[in-house]
Amino acid sequence: MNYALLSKYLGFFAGAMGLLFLPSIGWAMWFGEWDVIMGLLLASGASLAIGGILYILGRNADSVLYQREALGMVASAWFLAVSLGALPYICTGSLGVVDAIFESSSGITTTGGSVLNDYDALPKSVMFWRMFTHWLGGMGIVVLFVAVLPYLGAGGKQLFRSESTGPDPHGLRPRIRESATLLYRIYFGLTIVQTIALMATREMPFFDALCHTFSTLGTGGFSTKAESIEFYDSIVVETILIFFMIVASINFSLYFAMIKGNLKSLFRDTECRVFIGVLVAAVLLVTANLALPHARGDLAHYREFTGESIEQVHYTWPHAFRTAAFQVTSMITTTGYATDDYDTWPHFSRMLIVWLMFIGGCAGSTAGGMKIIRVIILLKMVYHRVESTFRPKRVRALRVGEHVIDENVQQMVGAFFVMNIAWIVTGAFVMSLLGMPLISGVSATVACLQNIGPGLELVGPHQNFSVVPDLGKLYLAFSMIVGRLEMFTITVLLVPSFWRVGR
Amino acid sequence: MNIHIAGGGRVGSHLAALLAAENHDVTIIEHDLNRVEQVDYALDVSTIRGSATSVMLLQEAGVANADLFVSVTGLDEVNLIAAATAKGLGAKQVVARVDDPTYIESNILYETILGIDYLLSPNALTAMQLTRYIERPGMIATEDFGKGLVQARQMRITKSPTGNGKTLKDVVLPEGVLLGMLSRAGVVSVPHGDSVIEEGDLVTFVGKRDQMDQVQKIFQATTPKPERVMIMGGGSIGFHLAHMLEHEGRAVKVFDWDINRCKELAEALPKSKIVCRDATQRISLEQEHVQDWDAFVATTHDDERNIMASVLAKEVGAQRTMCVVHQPDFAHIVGKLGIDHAVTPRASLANRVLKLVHQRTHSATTVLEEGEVQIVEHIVHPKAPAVKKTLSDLKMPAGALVCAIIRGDSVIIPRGPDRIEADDAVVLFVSPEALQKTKKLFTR
Repeated sequence: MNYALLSKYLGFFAGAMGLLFLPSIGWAMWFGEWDVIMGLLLASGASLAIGGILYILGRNADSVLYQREALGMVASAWFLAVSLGALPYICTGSLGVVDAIFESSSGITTTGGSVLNDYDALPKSVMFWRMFTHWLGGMGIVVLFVAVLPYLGAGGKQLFRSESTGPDPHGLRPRIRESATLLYRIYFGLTIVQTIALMATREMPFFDALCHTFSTLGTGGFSTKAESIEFYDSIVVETILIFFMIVASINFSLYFAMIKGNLKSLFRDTECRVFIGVLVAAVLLVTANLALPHARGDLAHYREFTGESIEQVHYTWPHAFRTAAFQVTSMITTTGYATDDYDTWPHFSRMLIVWLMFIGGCAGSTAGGMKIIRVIILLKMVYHRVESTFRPKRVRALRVGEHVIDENVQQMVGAFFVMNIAWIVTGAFVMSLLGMPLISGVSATVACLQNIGPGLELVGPHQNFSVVPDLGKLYLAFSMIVGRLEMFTITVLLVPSFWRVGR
Repeated sequence: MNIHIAGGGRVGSHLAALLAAENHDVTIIEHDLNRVEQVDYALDVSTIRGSATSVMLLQEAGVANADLFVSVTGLDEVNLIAAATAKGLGAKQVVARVDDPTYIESNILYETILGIDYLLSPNALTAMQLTRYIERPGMIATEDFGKGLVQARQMRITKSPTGNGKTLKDVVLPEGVLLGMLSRAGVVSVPHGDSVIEEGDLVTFVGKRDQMDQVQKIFQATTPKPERVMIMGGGSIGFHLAHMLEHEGRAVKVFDWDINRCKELAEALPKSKIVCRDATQRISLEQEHVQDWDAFVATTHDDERNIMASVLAKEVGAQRTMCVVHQPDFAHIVGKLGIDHAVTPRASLANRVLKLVHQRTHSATTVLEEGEVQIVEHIVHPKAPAVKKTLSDLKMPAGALVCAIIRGDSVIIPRGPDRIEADDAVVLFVSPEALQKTKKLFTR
């Protein structure tokens, strides 16, 4: 491991983080929050200082970035980003250290689970930072770094791949720096369009519209309101959000193809079609489940845990459809907005929600979860294995659409799945040791690892993560990073020989 | 520039690395999965897996928008078809690598008929480099700039004027000559007053053309031109080399252990002596009297055999030994084994292609070694940022060094206060990374 080089790049990175606090300082001035400006300046100054020190430590490093350094770089950049991202909360006295780290991790990994109880007490400038982290983390902080820093060369490609989502990420343009810039341009364009669309509804002022745009496009799930999107209670707002949540969960390279004039690429892409198919099917199932009275499940379990009595909500068909459409989209895109407490839904719908959390969006998007393409590959792999038991001589290639998936990628997808399960099991045990009840603990782990946000019961959509013990919050903050970097990048850090120099 | 390369083997990936370092958009088309993965991992270029002869694939790859299409797979016919197809699809300039002498001998006819801009053979280029080195011992490359007023010469040092406490500043270089780049064991540096030049170093000089022979006298021991050359390996490189040397009137002896190949060679090379034996055996070299020949050149496709045979030939008594190495990492260490010079085919081809690329933006250019050293000439545009600036004011990017300014018929070897004027020809050393930035300074 070339520690000097790592230090040099992390120095750049920490410095860049310091600059990213500046918009928040601007908002603080705009809203006249003079008492928090000092805190924000302190956070910014501290990041710049840390960056300077790291850069000086590594200034003489030779600059060849090998795979090992790239992995180490991406992983440590994320830990650093989460730590520095917690500074605005800490320095302004808004949150304690542990809560700040949880909130920061949840923001940057676009998870969207919160420990915030009093939304009005949080200064707006800090709120802006909270939402802005979603936007940064969605497309990727290291990708931003690759776009800005010249001469990373092939090393930049390693960085890009360690952070991008999906089983086989590749650039859109021959040179990786251009790819990174292009992705950010598309992202930026979408941000402008959505902000204008939200403002045009007249339901949201500019600040709220911008913040929710950050949160939607990063598929994060933070809201500026404690009641999340329920606060606005507007069909138009919900429709816009549904549209952009879906947009953010589809492979961004398809938009690039569309810009280049290949308008049909979106409809030809197998993954995209399956994604939309699953989404529509789930919406219809949940709608029916909610609207048909006899399909309603038993709510006794919920009362047992919360001790409160829940009144039965009766859904009309249109209401059921509206709720289902928003909530299902929110979960499968791993955003985690809420317009309704899905924890009061019938068992079947709750079950479906949990599985949607696993699946997630498309590769190359800002969504979390396993990704549709991996699910397709896994299912086909299993089918081929099953077939080979009774037709052993058959040789076939695994195809997704027209593309043949080579064995290497297949094995990585298999390993990814196993690692995913392993991290969930580990997380569930940690949660249970810390005293979390079974369903709450498991769902908290899954919701954090798949970067969704709310889970079930104690951490359900109308609750939040403040009930989790401090150690648990730190562990969950860690698993969010594990999930955002798609298991491998963080898992590799646990291999001791990875760190040894010259092995 | 948008450049497509068919074939991601040794030649293709080396070329791609050089072009990517200069910030060109490079796409490699390669059918072998392992190679695709290797290239993908090591280089900042995009890869497409598939056959370069497939018109569908080339179309999808966007060859129509390519400024340059280079086909460098190991198969001549694949390269010819791929290049002709790419041209047909609209690629602006296409280059095909060929190794079969049939194609090389009538290259112009083939180029016209197939619509390919250049047929290049790494083996023929390598043989040409070897011939040149044999003709002018110690001289690796020469290139004229500024309409012949300025010359760059890269030479191997055989007589060092430094050492014994003397450093470069004690050496009096002829007026108007600059010592630009020093390459020792593959590491390139800019020498300064306290540097010491060692025998075996590769040094590049730039300066007034009429002074260059003077330089040669200072840094090189005078050696007689080799009249008699022994070649090991009658493959493509060996054949081209023998053919060229025969043409120059040299006595040539070719070793090859395959009797059928020997018969073919005997038919094609009327003046050369062909021997069917293994040159890696001491007894063969002794019986063929290698010590009485002026030079021994090992040209087989097997690097280890080439190197070992050269060392053995030296041991038996050969005056000078040269060898071909395909693995460029070996090229820098052969000097340590007492071998006088090594040539790398992939670098020969890549440097030639790079020159083609540079020709579009520079008035003259040369690429040396594995691409680390490049010398380019710019005609300064009247509206360029550099006009009317002194060299010390001009912020040259790291890795660029102005070594000559040609104004009208006079040559200026510049110092800090010298000013750059419109329409000057400026000759510079540049690293691949600095190439684009430097270009912006001298063009509009």
